[in-house]
Amino acid sequence: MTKRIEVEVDGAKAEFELRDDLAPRTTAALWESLPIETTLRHGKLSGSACYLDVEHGPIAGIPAEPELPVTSIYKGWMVAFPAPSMGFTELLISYGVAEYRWPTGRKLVTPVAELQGDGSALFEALGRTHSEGEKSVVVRRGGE
Amino acid sequence: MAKLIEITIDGETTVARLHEEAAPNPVARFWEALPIDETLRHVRWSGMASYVLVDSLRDEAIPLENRVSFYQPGAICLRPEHGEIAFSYGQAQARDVRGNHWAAHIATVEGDTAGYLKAIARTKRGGARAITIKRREG
Amino acid sequence: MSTRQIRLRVHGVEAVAKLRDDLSPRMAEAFWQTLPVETSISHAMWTGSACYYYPGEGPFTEVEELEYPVCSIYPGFVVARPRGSEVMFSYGPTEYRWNIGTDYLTPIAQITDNREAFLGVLARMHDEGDKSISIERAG
Repeated sequence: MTKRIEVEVDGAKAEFELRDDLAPRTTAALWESLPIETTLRHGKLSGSACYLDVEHGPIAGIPAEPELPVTSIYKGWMVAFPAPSMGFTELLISYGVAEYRWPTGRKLVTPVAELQGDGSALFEALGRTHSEGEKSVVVRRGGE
Repeated sequence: MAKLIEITIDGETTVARLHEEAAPNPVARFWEALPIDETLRHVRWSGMASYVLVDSLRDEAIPLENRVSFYQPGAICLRPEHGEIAFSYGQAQARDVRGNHWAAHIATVEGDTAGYLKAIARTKRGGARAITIKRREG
Repeated sequence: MSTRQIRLRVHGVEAVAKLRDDLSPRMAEAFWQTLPVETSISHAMWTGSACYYYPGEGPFTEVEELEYPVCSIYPGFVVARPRGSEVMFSYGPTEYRWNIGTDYLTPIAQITDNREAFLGVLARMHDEGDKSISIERAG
């Protein structure tokens, strides 16, 4: 049965389906790391996306090589950028046009979860971080 | 005297010359791996080329001598990190999901290559087919 | 407004996809207007785990803008180039590329039913070569 997770930002909640068909190891590590409560910030280089750095749990130590390498972050998708040498994995959620970039150019991430249903409230909350600054985010297990 | 190989695809045999002086180490490893009987498939990232994977040539210690990134038609190139031998019939470059890479240019077909190039190209629309590569003795 | 769906069939394997007019309204509409389609698809040679067909003349040619630019084609997505020079279907890791390097296109549909089997038949094209595809409006 497909696992679901819930993301909550600034009072807005949305449910995502874990895409273990695309990234079984990464999604399993993410699932085992939940719940995550941390700070969400707007990306500086990647377009309409916000990110959270996860330093605890199995997700923080996944291998650097992305399971399904992509650079585009589709609207309503969560992706993971493993940085084991730095001790964390970055999760990003896109609310518009987004592509994962560093100052040196595009970098590869892995898609891990896809929004289910209406994400408009969450998208607005994510977008607000651009002008209002960082917010708290909770990622928790949803229904199984 | 230059080492030569024979490549047979779809019943057609072509001769290629190994670039032993320019790429002594990759050529030596390739020569040792012969004969090769494998399935030839069209590349998915590198353009107008087909390839085989050879386990014994999957060795990152093989140096990238006679290093190229772009493949000329008729070139035969080795990517040791994959054990991949690419056979180019048109515009092609050593690529994968991560981007552009290097390969060792180990051999080039010679003589009348028209039939060979068409056979390589047929994998694109016609699918995979058998390829045999062996030493040309004598 | 309910989501429009299409039915795709390759080598006897059928899948259903929803139009992504939330991402690419004009291009998705143009795609809808081209249906039904019966043509041949080929495996990509620069883009990775993807297959494509050329739509030719028709409604696509009028959509010039890149409505939702992506270079990665997520598995199960159908994408199109501005002016509709190419429609692609991804079954695995891809990045849209030409001989000159990476380029961008826009998502027009996403497979929702029988995805695994359909992506499997696309993957087989790497070994088996070109296949016929039919695409029609569903429901």
